[in-house]
Amino acid sequence: MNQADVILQVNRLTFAYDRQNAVLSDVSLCIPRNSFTVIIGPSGAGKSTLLRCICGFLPTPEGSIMLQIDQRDNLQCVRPNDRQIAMIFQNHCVVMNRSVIWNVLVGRLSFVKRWRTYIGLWPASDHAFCLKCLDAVGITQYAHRQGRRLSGGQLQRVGIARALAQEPVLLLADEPTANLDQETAEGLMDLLNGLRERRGMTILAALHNIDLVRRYSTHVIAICGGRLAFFGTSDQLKETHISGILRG
Amino acid sequence: MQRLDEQLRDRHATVSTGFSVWKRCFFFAVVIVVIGWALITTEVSLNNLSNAPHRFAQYIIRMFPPDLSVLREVMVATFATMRMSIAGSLLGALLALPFSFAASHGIGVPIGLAVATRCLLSVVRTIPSLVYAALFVTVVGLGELAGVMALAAFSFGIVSKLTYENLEVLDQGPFDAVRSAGGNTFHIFRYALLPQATPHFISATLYAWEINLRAAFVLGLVGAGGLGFELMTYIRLFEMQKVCTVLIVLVVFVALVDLLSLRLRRMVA
Repeated sequence: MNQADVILQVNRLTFAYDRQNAVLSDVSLCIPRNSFTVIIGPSGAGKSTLLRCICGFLPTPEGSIMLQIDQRDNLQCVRPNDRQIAMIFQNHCVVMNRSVIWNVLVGRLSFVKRWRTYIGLWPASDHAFCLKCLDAVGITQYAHRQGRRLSGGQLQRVGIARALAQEPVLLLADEPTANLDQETAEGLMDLLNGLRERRGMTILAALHNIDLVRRYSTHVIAICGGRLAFFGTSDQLKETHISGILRG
Repeated sequence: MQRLDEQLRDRHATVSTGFSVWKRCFFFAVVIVVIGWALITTEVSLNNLSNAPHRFAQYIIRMFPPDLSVLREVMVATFATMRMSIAGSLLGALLALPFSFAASHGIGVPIGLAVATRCLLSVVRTIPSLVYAALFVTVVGLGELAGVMALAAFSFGIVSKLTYENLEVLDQGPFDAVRSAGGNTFHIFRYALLPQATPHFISATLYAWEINLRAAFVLGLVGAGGLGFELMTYIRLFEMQKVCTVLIVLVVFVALVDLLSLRLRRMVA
Protein backbone atom coordinates (compact mmCIF):
# COMPACT_ATOMS: atom_id res chain seq x y z
CA MET A 1 0.00 0.00 0.00
CA ASN A 2 1.31 3.47 -0.95
CA GLN A 3 2.21 5.61 2.08
CA ALA A 4 -0.05 8.43 0.87
CA ASP A 5 -3.03 6.06 0.82
CA VAL A 6 -2.66 5.27 4.51
CA ILE A 7 -4.56 7.42 6.99
CA LEU A 8 -3.74 5.50 10.16
CA GLN A 9 -0.83 3.27 10.99
CA VAL A 10 -0.66 1.17 14.15
CA ASN A 11 2.79 -0.24 14.97
CA ARG A 12 3.35 -3.09 17.41
CA LEU A 13 0.61 -1.95 19.77
CA THR A 14 0.39 -3.82 23.05
CA PHE A 15 -2.08 -2.88 25.75
CA ALA A 16 -3.04 -4.39 29.11
CA TYR A 17 -5.52 -3.21 31.75
CA ASP A 18 -3.45 -5.06 34.35
CA ARG A 19 0.13 -6.35 34.24
CA GLN A 20 -0.71 -10.01 33.69
CA ASN A 21 -3.26 -10.07 30.87
CA ALA A 22 -2.54 -8.23 27.63
CA VAL A 23 -5.76 -7.34 25.79
CA LEU A 24 -3.84 -6.36 22.64
CA SER A 25 -0.53 -8.02 21.75
CA ASP A 26 1.80 -6.67 19.10
CA VAL A 27 -0.92 -5.40 16.77
CA SER A 28 0.29 -3.72 13.57
CA LEU A 29 -2.01 -2.54 10.79
CA CYS A 30 -2.65 0.22 8.26
CA ILE A 31 -6.04 1.75 7.55
CA PRO A 32 -6.45 2.85 3.92
CA ARG A 33 -7.71 6.39 3.29
CA ASN A 34 -11.43 6.69 2.41
CA SER A 35 -12.02 3.04 3.30
CA PHE A 36 -14.82 1.46 5.33
CA THR A 37 -12.72 -0.83 7.46
CA VAL A 38 -14.49 -3.17 9.83
CA ILE A 39 -12.98 -4.89 12.85
CA ILE A 40 -14.47 -8.29 13.62
CA GLY A 41 -13.74 -10.85 16.30
CA PRO A 42 -15.34 -12.74 19.16
CA SER A 43 -16.49 -10.91 22.28
CA GLY A 44 -13.56 -9.89 24.48
CA ALA A 45 -11.11 -10.12 21.57
CA GLY A 46 -9.97 -6.51 22.02
CA LYS A 47 -11.97 -4.68 19.30
CA SER A 48 -13.29 -1.91 21.54
CA THR A 49 -9.92 -1.63 23.30
CA LEU A 50 -8.20 -1.09 19.94
CA LEU A 51 -10.70 1.66 19.06
CA ARG A 52 -10.28 3.31 22.47
CA CYS A 53 -6.49 3.23 22.08
CA ILE A 54 -6.75 4.87 18.63
CA CYS A 55 -9.15 7.50 20.00
CA GLY A 56 -6.71 8.32 22.78
CA PHE A 57 -8.96 7.24 25.68
CA LEU A 58 -6.39 4.65 26.75
CA PRO A 59 -2.66 5.29 27.12
CA THR A 60 -0.41 3.27 24.80
CA PRO A 61 3.00 2.89 26.44
CA GLU A 62 3.99 0.11 24.01
CA GLY A 63 3.74 0.65 20.27
CA SER A 64 2.66 3.71 18.31
CA ILE A 65 -0.41 5.04 16.54
CA MET A 66 0.28 7.45 13.67
CA LEU A 67 -2.23 9.58 11.77
CA GLN A 68 -1.78 11.23 8.39
CA ILE A 69 -4.38 14.01 8.21
CA ASP A 70 -3.60 15.08 4.65
CA GLN A 71 -2.00 13.07 1.85
CA ARG A 72 0.76 15.72 1.60
CA ASP A 73 1.55 15.53 5.34
CA ASN A 74 3.75 13.05 7.15
CA LEU A 75 2.40 10.51 9.60
CA GLN A 76 2.21 12.03 13.06
CA CYS A 77 1.68 10.47 16.46
CA VAL A 78 -1.95 10.68 17.55
CA ARG A 79 -2.44 13.10 20.43
CA PRO A 80 -4.84 12.07 23.23
CA ASN A 81 -8.40 13.12 22.35
CA ASP A 82 -7.41 14.45 18.92
CA ARG A 83 -10.44 16.13 17.33
CA GLN A 84 -9.40 14.71 13.92
CA ILE A 85 -10.55 11.33 15.19
CA ALA A 86 -14.23 11.21 16.15
CA MET A 87 -16.00 8.34 17.84
CA ILE A 88 -19.51 6.95 17.53
CA PHE A 89 -20.40 4.92 20.60
CA GLN A 90 -22.46 1.80 21.06
CA ASN A 91 -24.76 3.54 23.56
CA HIS A 92 -24.74 6.89 21.67
CA CYS A 93 -23.48 8.82 24.77
CA VAL A 94 -26.09 11.56 24.43
CA VAL A 95 -26.99 13.73 27.45
CA MET A 96 -30.67 12.80 27.63
CA ASN A 97 -31.99 15.88 29.43
CA ARG A 98 -30.50 18.30 26.90
CA SER A 99 -31.62 19.14 23.36
CA VAL A 100 -30.25 17.44 20.28
CA ILE A 101 -28.55 20.64 19.06
CA TRP A 102 -26.93 21.09 22.51
CA ASN A 103 -25.45 17.60 22.23
CA VAL A 104 -24.21 18.17 18.67
CA LEU A 105 -22.56 21.46 19.67
CA VAL A 106 -20.29 19.43 21.97
CA GLY A 107 -18.58 18.30 18.76
CA ARG A 108 -17.52 21.94 18.14
CA LEU A 109 -15.61 22.29 21.44
CA SER A 110 -12.22 22.38 19.68
CA PHE A 111 -13.29 25.05 17.19
CA VAL A 112 -14.70 27.72 19.49
CA LYS A 113 -12.86 30.04 21.91
CA ARG A 114 -12.59 28.43 25.31
CA TRP A 115 -14.30 31.22 27.26
CA ARG A 116 -17.31 30.88 24.96
CA THR A 117 -17.51 27.11 25.51
CA TYR A 118 -17.17 27.58 29.28
CA ILE A 119 -20.28 29.76 29.45
CA GLY A 120 -22.10 28.01 26.62
CA LEU A 121 -22.14 31.05 24.32
CA TRP A 122 -21.88 29.37 20.94
CA PRO A 123 -21.38 31.47 17.77
CA ALA A 124 -24.25 31.48 15.28
CA SER A 125 -21.96 29.99 12.63
CA ASP A 126 -21.39 26.89 14.80
CA HIS A 127 -25.13 26.58 15.40
CA ALA A 128 -25.64 26.68 11.64
CA PHE A 129 -22.90 24.11 11.11
CA CYS A 130 -24.49 21.74 13.64
CA LEU A 131 -27.85 22.10 11.92
CA LYS A 132 -26.12 21.06 8.67
CA CYS A 133 -24.71 18.01 10.47
CA LEU A 134 -28.20 17.14 11.68
CA ASP A 135 -29.44 17.59 8.12
CA ALA A 136 -26.75 15.16 6.91
CA VAL A 137 -28.12 12.48 9.25
CA GLY A 138 -31.74 13.39 8.54
CA ILE A 139 -32.96 14.59 11.95
CA THR A 140 -33.03 18.41 11.62
CA GLN A 141 -36.67 18.39 12.74
CA TYR A 142 -35.61 17.08 16.18
CA ALA A 143 -32.94 19.76 16.76
CA HIS A 144 -34.70 21.23 19.80
CA ARG A 145 -36.13 18.01 21.17
CA GLN A 146 -34.66 16.47 24.33
CA GLY A 147 -32.61 13.31 23.94
CA ARG A 148 -35.00 11.29 26.12
CA ARG A 149 -37.78 11.84 23.58
CA LEU A 150 -35.90 10.12 20.75
CA SER A 151 -35.76 6.47 19.68
CA GLY A 152 -32.58 4.37 19.78
CA GLY A 153 -31.95 4.86 16.06
CA GLN A 154 -32.50 8.61 16.29
CA LEU A 155 -30.13 8.84 19.29
CA GLN A 156 -27.47 7.01 17.32
CA ARG A 157 -27.92 9.60 14.55
CA VAL A 158 -27.39 12.37 17.11
CA GLY A 159 -24.11 10.63 18.03
CA ILE A 160 -23.12 10.60 14.36
CA ALA A 161 -24.06 14.27 13.90
CA ARG A 162 -21.92 15.15 16.95
CA ALA A 163 -19.02 13.23 15.42
CA LEU A 164 -19.51 15.02 12.08
CA ALA A 165 -19.49 18.38 13.90
CA GLN A 166 -15.88 17.59 14.82
CA GLU A 167 -14.98 17.60 11.09
CA PRO A 168 -12.82 14.52 11.59
CA VAL A 169 -10.74 12.73 8.98
CA LEU A 170 -11.24 9.39 10.70
CA LEU A 171 -14.54 8.22 12.13
CA LEU A 172 -14.41 5.38 14.65
CA ALA A 173 -17.58 3.45 15.45
CA ASP A 174 -17.82 0.97 18.32
CA GLU A 175 -20.69 -1.45 17.60
CA PRO A 176 -22.94 1.37 16.32
CA THR A 177 -25.74 -1.05 15.38
CA ALA A 178 -25.61 -3.24 18.51
CA ASN A 179 -28.86 -2.00 20.07
CA LEU A 180 -30.81 -1.49 16.85
CA ASP A 181 -33.23 -3.66 14.88
CA GLN A 182 -32.15 -4.95 11.45
CA GLU A 183 -33.94 -2.26 9.44
CA THR A 184 -32.63 0.64 11.54
CA ALA A 185 -29.15 -0.90 11.55
CA GLU A 186 -29.13 -1.07 7.75
CA GLY A 187 -30.32 2.55 7.54
CA LEU A 188 -27.49 3.58 9.82
CA MET A 189 -24.90 1.68 7.81
CA ASP A 190 -26.24 3.26 4.59
CA LEU A 191 -25.85 6.64 6.25
CA LEU A 192 -22.25 5.97 7.33
CA ASN A 193 -21.32 4.62 3.91
CA GLY A 194 -22.94 7.62 2.22
CA LEU A 195 -20.97 9.99 4.44
CA ARG A 196 -17.77 8.16 3.53
CA GLU A 197 -18.49 8.45 -0.18
CA ARG A 198 -19.69 12.06 -0.17
CA ARG A 199 -17.26 13.53 2.36
CA GLY A 200 -14.22 11.38 1.67
CA MET A 201 -14.07 10.28 5.31
CA THR A 202 -12.47 7.08 6.52
CA ILE A 203 -14.53 4.82 8.75
CA LEU A 204 -13.16 2.23 11.14
CA ALA A 205 -15.96 0.30 12.84
CA ALA A 206 -16.21 -2.69 15.16
CA LEU A 207 -19.15 -4.87 14.13
CA HIS A 208 -20.65 -8.20 15.10
CA ASN A 209 -23.13 -8.64 12.26
CA ILE A 210 -21.27 -10.51 9.51
CA ASP A 211 -24.02 -9.77 7.00
CA LEU A 212 -23.47 -6.02 7.48
CA VAL A 213 -19.70 -6.55 7.30
CA ARG A 214 -20.02 -8.25 3.90
CA ARG A 215 -22.37 -5.61 2.51
CA TYR A 216 -20.65 -2.43 3.62
CA SER A 217 -16.96 -2.97 4.37
CA THR A 218 -14.14 -2.35 1.92
CA HIS A 219 -11.51 -3.79 4.26
CA VAL A 220 -11.69 -6.19 7.20
CA ILE A 221 -9.51 -6.59 10.26
CA ALA A 222 -10.00 -9.65 12.44
CA ILE A 223 -8.73 -9.77 16.01
CA CYS A 224 -8.58 -12.95 18.07
CA GLY A 225 -7.24 -13.06 21.62
CA GLY A 226 -5.73 -9.60 21.21
CA ARG A 227 -3.75 -10.53 18.09
CA LEU A 228 -4.28 -9.63 14.47
CA ALA A 229 -5.79 -12.71 12.78
CA PHE A 230 -6.74 -11.30 9.39
CA PHE A 231 -6.25 -8.08 7.45
CA GLY A 232 -7.37 -7.67 3.86
CA THR A 233 -10.13 -6.47 1.59
CA SER A 234 -13.63 -7.76 2.19
CA ASP A 235 -13.38 -9.81 -1.03
CA GLN A 236 -10.46 -11.70 0.46
CA LEU A 237 -12.49 -12.65 3.53
CA LYS A 238 -13.72 -16.22 3.06
CA GLU A 239 -16.28 -18.20 5.02
CA THR A 240 -13.52 -20.38 6.49
CA HIS A 241 -11.81 -17.25 7.84
CA ILE A 242 -15.02 -16.07 9.48
CA SER A 243 -15.87 -19.37 11.17
CA GLY A 244 -12.27 -19.69 12.43
CA ILE A 245 -12.24 -16.09 13.71
CA LEU A 246 -15.59 -16.25 15.46
CA ARG A 247 -14.63 -19.53 17.15
CA GLY A 248 -11.67 -17.60 18.56
CA MET B 1 -46.19 -35.32 38.09
CA GLN B 2 -45.51 -37.88 40.77
CA ARG B 3 -41.82 -37.13 40.44
CA LEU B 4 -42.50 -33.41 40.94
CA ASP B 5 -44.54 -34.16 44.08
CA GLU B 6 -41.68 -36.23 45.44
CA GLN B 7 -39.22 -33.46 44.72
CA LEU B 8 -41.44 -30.93 46.51
CA ARG B 9 -41.84 -33.27 49.50
CA ASP B 10 -38.07 -33.77 49.67
CA ARG B 11 -37.51 -30.03 49.47
CA HIS B 12 -40.07 -29.40 52.21
CA ALA B 13 -38.38 -32.03 54.36
CA THR B 14 -35.00 -30.35 53.82
CA VAL B 15 -36.42 -26.97 54.86
CA SER B 16 -38.04 -28.51 57.96
CA THR B 17 -34.83 -30.21 59.06
CA GLY B 18 -32.93 -26.97 58.34
CA PHE B 19 -35.05 -25.04 60.88
CA SER B 20 -36.18 -27.55 63.51
CA VAL B 21 -39.18 -27.29 65.88
CA TRP B 22 -36.92 -26.61 68.88
CA LYS B 23 -35.24 -23.76 67.08
CA ARG B 24 -38.64 -22.27 66.17
CA CYS B 25 -39.83 -22.50 69.80
CA PHE B 26 -36.65 -20.86 71.02
CA PHE B 27 -36.99 -18.09 68.41
CA PHE B 28 -40.62 -17.32 69.41
CA ALA B 29 -39.71 -17.41 73.13
CA VAL B 30 -36.98 -14.83 72.54
CA VAL B 31 -39.37 -12.60 70.56
CA ILE B 32 -42.03 -12.79 73.34
CA VAL B 33 -39.48 -12.01 76.07
CA VAL B 34 -38.17 -8.97 74.16
CA ILE B 35 -41.70 -7.62 73.52
CA GLY B 36 -42.69 -8.20 77.17
CA TRP B 37 -39.55 -6.46 78.44
CA ALA B 38 -40.21 -3.45 76.14
CA LEU B 39 -43.87 -3.14 77.25
CA ILE B 40 -43.22 -3.53 80.97
CA THR B 41 -40.26 -1.16 81.17
CA THR B 42 -42.17 1.55 79.25
CA GLU B 43 -45.16 1.22 81.64
CA VAL B 44 -47.55 0.11 78.89
CA SER B 45 -50.39 -1.58 80.72
CA LEU B 46 -54.00 -2.40 79.84
CA ASN B 47 -55.11 -0.25 82.77
CA ASN B 48 -53.34 2.81 81.40
CA LEU B 49 -54.41 2.08 77.81
CA SER B 50 -58.08 1.60 78.73
CA ASN B 51 -58.35 5.26 79.80
CA ALA B 52 -56.56 6.57 76.72
CA PRO B 53 -59.49 6.61 74.21
CA HIS B 54 -61.70 8.46 76.68
CA ARG B 55 -59.04 11.09 77.41
CA PHE B 56 -58.20 11.43 73.74
CA ALA B 57 -61.87 11.93 72.86
CA GLN B 58 -62.18 14.66 75.51
CA TYR B 59 -59.10 16.32 74.11
CA ILE B 60 -60.52 16.27 70.57
CA ILE B 61 -63.93 17.57 71.72
CA ARG B 62 -62.24 20.54 73.45
CA MET B 63 -60.50 21.39 70.14
CA PHE B 64 -63.75 22.07 68.28
CA PRO B 65 -64.86 24.39 66.91
CA PRO B 66 -61.46 25.82 65.87
CA ASP B 67 -60.83 29.39 67.00
CA LEU B 68 -60.38 31.28 63.73
CA SER B 69 -59.74 34.59 65.49
CA VAL B 70 -56.05 33.63 65.62
CA LEU B 71 -55.92 32.76 61.92
CA ARG B 72 -53.99 35.92 61.03
CA GLU B 73 -51.33 35.29 63.69
CA VAL B 74 -51.13 31.65 62.65
CA MET B 75 -50.69 32.60 59.00
CA VAL B 76 -47.91 35.04 59.91
CA ALA B 77 -46.20 32.26 61.89
CA THR B 78 -46.77 29.84 58.99
CA PHE B 79 -44.96 32.16 56.59
CA ALA B 80 -42.15 32.48 59.14
CA THR B 81 -41.87 28.66 59.11
CA MET B 82 -41.94 28.76 55.32
CA ARG B 83 -39.17 31.38 55.24
CA MET B 84 -37.08 29.31 57.62
CA SER B 85 -37.49 26.12 55.60
CA ILE B 86 -36.71 27.82 52.26
CA ALA B 87 -33.69 29.76 53.55
CA GLY B 88 -32.35 26.73 55.45
CA SER B 89 -32.80 24.36 52.49
CA LEU B 90 -31.17 26.73 50.00
CA LEU B 91 -28.21 27.58 52.24
CA GLY B 92 -27.62 23.92 53.02
CA ALA B 93 -27.95 22.89 49.35
CA LEU B 94 -25.50 25.56 48.18
CA LEU B 95 -22.99 24.40 50.75
CA ALA B 96 -23.66 20.77 49.77
CA LEU B 97 -22.82 21.28 46.08
CA PRO B 98 -18.99 21.37 46.32
CA PHE B 99 -19.00 18.72 49.07
CA SER B 100 -21.10 16.36 46.90
CA PHE B 101 -18.49 16.51 44.14
CA ALA B 102 -15.66 16.10 46.66
CA ALA B 103 -17.30 12.98 48.14
CA SER B 104 -17.93 11.19 44.82
CA HIS B 105 -15.91 8.23 43.65
CA GLY B 106 -15.42 7.71 39.93
CA ILE B 107 -15.39 11.32 38.73
CA GLY B 108 -11.69 11.89 39.20
CA VAL B 109 -11.72 12.99 42.87
CA PRO B 110 -8.70 11.70 44.87
CA ILE B 111 -9.83 8.76 47.01
CA GLY B 112 -8.45 10.31 50.22
CA LEU B 113 -10.46 13.50 49.73
CA ALA B 114 -13.62 11.51 48.95
CA VAL B 115 -13.28 9.36 52.09
CA ALA B 116 -12.51 12.38 54.33
CA THR B 117 -15.50 14.29 52.94
CA ARG B 118 -17.79 11.30 53.48
CA CYS B 119 -16.64 11.00 57.10
CA LEU B 120 -17.40 14.69 57.66
CA LEU B 121 -20.83 14.33 56.05
CA SER B 122 -21.62 11.27 58.18
CA VAL B 123 -20.88 13.28 61.34
CA VAL B 124 -23.09 16.14 60.10
CA ARG B 125 -25.97 13.75 59.35
CA THR B 126 -25.72 11.97 62.68
CA ILE B 127 -26.82 15.04 64.66
CA PRO B 128 -30.63 15.61 64.53
CA SER B 129 -31.94 19.03 63.47
CA LEU B 130 -33.51 19.50 66.92
CA VAL B 131 -30.05 19.26 68.52
CA TYR B 132 -28.67 21.71 65.94
CA ALA B 133 -31.50 24.11 66.81
CA ALA B 134 -30.75 23.85 70.53
CA LEU B 135 -27.06 24.51 69.81
CA PHE B 136 -27.73 27.49 67.53
CA VAL B 137 -30.28 28.98 69.97
CA THR B 138 -27.49 29.15 72.54
CA VAL B 139 -25.11 30.67 69.95
CA VAL B 140 -27.34 33.24 68.17
CA GLY B 141 -30.25 33.44 70.61
CA LEU B 142 -33.99 32.70 70.22
CA GLY B 143 -35.58 33.30 66.83
CA GLU B 144 -35.67 32.34 63.19
CA LEU B 145 -31.92 32.65 62.57
CA ALA B 146 -31.23 29.69 64.86
CA GLY B 147 -33.89 27.70 62.97
CA VAL B 148 -32.47 28.63 59.57
CA MET B 149 -28.96 27.58 60.65
CA ALA B 150 -30.23 24.27 62.07
CA LEU B 151 -32.14 23.47 58.88
CA ALA B 152 -29.14 24.49 56.74
CA ALA B 153 -26.95 22.02 58.66
CA PHE B 154 -29.53 19.26 58.20
CA SER B 155 -30.03 20.03 54.48
CA PHE B 156 -26.28 20.13 53.95
CA GLY B 157 -25.97 16.56 55.21
CA ILE B 158 -28.90 15.05 53.35
CA VAL B 159 -28.49 16.90 50.01
CA SER B 160 -24.76 16.03 49.94
CA LYS B 161 -25.46 12.34 50.50
CA LEU B 162 -28.27 12.06 47.95
CA THR B 163 -26.29 14.01 45.34
CA TYR B 164 -22.98 12.17 45.68
CA GLU B 165 -24.75 8.80 45.54
CA ASN B 166 -26.40 9.85 42.28
CA LEU B 167 -23.15 11.26 40.87
CA GLU B 168 -21.60 7.81 41.16
CA VAL B 169 -24.19 6.19 38.90
CA LEU B 170 -24.16 8.85 36.18
CA ASP B 171 -23.90 7.66 32.58
CA GLN B 172 -20.17 7.77 31.75
CA GLY B 173 -20.90 7.90 28.01
CA PRO B 174 -21.20 11.70 27.73
CA PHE B 175 -17.81 11.97 29.50
CA ASP B 176 -16.26 9.96 26.64
CA ALA B 177 -18.14 12.01 24.05
CA VAL B 178 -16.72 15.30 25.40
CA ARG B 179 -13.23 13.78 25.62
CA SER B 180 -13.50 12.51 22.06
CA ALA B 181 -14.43 16.01 20.87
CA GLY B 182 -11.18 17.33 22.34
CA GLY B 183 -12.72 18.73 25.54
CA ASN B 184 -10.62 19.47 28.64
CA THR B 185 -11.45 18.67 32.28
CA PHE B 186 -13.65 21.75 32.70
CA HIS B 187 -15.52 20.87 29.48
CA ILE B 188 -16.20 17.40 30.91
CA PHE B 189 -17.56 19.02 34.08
CA ARG B 190 -19.60 21.59 32.12
CA TYR B 191 -20.98 19.39 29.32
CA ALA B 192 -21.13 15.86 30.78
CA LEU B 193 -21.25 15.98 34.58
CA LEU B 194 -23.23 19.14 35.38
CA PRO B 195 -26.19 18.58 33.01
CA GLN B 196 -26.65 15.04 34.31
CA ALA B 197 -26.12 15.96 37.97
CA THR B 198 -28.36 19.06 38.08
CA PRO B 199 -31.74 17.22 38.12
CA HIS B 200 -30.53 14.96 40.96
CA PHE B 201 -29.29 17.98 42.93
CA ILE B 202 -32.54 19.92 42.46
CA SER B 203 -34.57 16.84 43.36
CA ALA B 204 -32.51 16.29 46.54
CA THR B 205 -32.92 19.96 47.49
CA LEU B 206 -36.71 19.80 47.05
CA TYR B 207 -36.84 16.59 49.09
CA ALA B 208 -34.83 18.29 51.85
CA TRP B 209 -37.23 21.24 51.69
CA GLU B 210 -40.21 18.91 52.26
CA ILE B 211 -38.53 17.43 55.34
CA ASN B 212 -37.36 20.86 56.50
CA LEU B 213 -40.86 22.24 56.47
CA ARG B 214 -41.94 19.67 59.07
CA ALA B 215 -38.65 20.10 60.92
CA ALA B 216 -39.08 23.91 60.95
CA PHE B 217 -42.42 23.38 62.67
CA VAL B 218 -40.83 21.18 65.34
CA LEU B 219 -37.92 23.62 65.80
CA GLY B 220 -40.39 26.23 66.98
CA LEU B 221 -40.92 24.05 70.05
CA VAL B 222 -37.34 24.73 71.19
CA GLY B 223 -37.63 28.46 70.59
CA ALA B 224 -36.53 28.78 66.97
CA GLY B 225 -39.67 30.75 66.05
CA GLY B 226 -42.45 30.02 63.56
CA LEU B 227 -45.62 27.94 63.77
CA GLY B 228 -44.22 25.47 66.31
CA PHE B 229 -43.59 28.31 68.74
CA GLU B 230 -47.23 29.45 68.42
CA LEU B 231 -48.46 25.87 68.93
CA MET B 232 -46.36 25.40 72.05
CA THR B 233 -47.69 28.65 73.50
CA TYR B 234 -51.34 27.62 72.95
CA ILE B 235 -50.76 24.13 74.39
CA ARG B 236 -49.20 25.59 77.54
CA LEU B 237 -52.20 27.90 77.94
CA PHE B 238 -54.62 24.95 77.28
CA GLU B 239 -56.24 26.93 74.43
CA MET B 240 -57.20 23.81 72.50
CA GLN B 241 -59.42 25.56 69.92
CA LYS B 242 -56.45 27.68 68.89
CA VAL B 243 -54.30 24.52 68.77
CA CYS B 244 -56.87 23.07 66.36
CA THR B 245 -56.54 26.11 64.06
CA VAL B 246 -52.77 25.71 64.04
CA LEU B 247 -53.02 22.00 63.20
CA ILE B 248 -55.52 22.58 60.36
CA VAL B 249 -53.30 25.26 58.82
CA LEU B 250 -50.26 22.99 59.22
CA VAL B 251 -51.90 19.99 57.52
CA VAL B 252 -53.17 22.07 54.56
CA PHE B 253 -49.87 23.85 54.24
CA VAL B 254 -47.72 20.68 54.33
CA ALA B 255 -50.02 18.96 51.80
CA LEU B 256 -49.72 21.92 49.41
CA VAL B 257 -45.93 22.00 49.72
CA ASP B 258 -45.69 18.22 49.15
CA LEU B 259 -47.78 18.59 46.01
CA LEU B 260 -45.70 21.51 44.73
CA SER B 261 -42.45 19.71 45.48
CA LEU B 262 -43.67 16.56 43.71
CA ARG B 263 -44.62 18.57 40.61
CA LEU B 264 -41.27 20.38 40.57
CA ARG B 265 -39.33 17.13 41.02
CA ARG B 266 -41.21 15.55 38.13
CA MET B 267 -40.42 18.60 36.00
CA VAL B 268 -36.67 18.40 36.59
CA ALA B 269 -36.41 14.58 36.45
